[in-house]
Amino acid sequence: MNEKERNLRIAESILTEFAWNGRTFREGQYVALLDGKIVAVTDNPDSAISALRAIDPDPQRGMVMEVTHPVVDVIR
Amino acid sequence: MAAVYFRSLDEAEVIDVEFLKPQGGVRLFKLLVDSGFTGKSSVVLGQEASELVRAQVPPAQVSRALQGAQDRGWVTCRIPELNSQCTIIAIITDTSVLSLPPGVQGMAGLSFLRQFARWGAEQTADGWRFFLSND
Repeated sequence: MNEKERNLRIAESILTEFAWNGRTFREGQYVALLDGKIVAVTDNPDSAISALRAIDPDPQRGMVMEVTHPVVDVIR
Repeated sequence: MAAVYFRSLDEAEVIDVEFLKPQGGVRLFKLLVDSGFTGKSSVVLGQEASELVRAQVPPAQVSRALQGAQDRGWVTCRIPELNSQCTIIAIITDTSVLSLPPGVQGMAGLSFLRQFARWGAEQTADGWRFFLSND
């Protein structure tokens, strides 16, 4: 499992259960993930991205997700 | 009253948006406005916009003009005339399937437009124009 897959495993749990490993999240929070770990939980995307990039400046590593129910993007 | 106006194309409303590069500098994109583009993602940009991504976002399902799970990233954009800057989710994909007008590099959807207090199109003596306003 690569770094992205490890992050996605956590992201899918948070999106479906608003929880991961006993930790709960509320809708509207932003979670930064790196190497399969939660490295920041904030109330806006900029803070989560900044926290992630302070640990690892490579934009290809890690991800930032909004805690929300899955939404399908519709492009007509 | 803070508003910015963009001359409409014959077949579409368009806006000019500056995107900040993580390493410094900006890139200007002309985006087709489509309020029927709904969801959490705000814009669709081509693969050449990968350099703008500050962090990845879990892929999302997309339907209709684009299909399936699409790669997404956080990008920061600004409208200098409005002193407006925001960090939004961009779908990064092959935009050739969208049949965009010549000179248009992507799309802006409803979640982008709703960051402004008012937006819309109006007819003037010089033709149609689209506006974004903070008031």
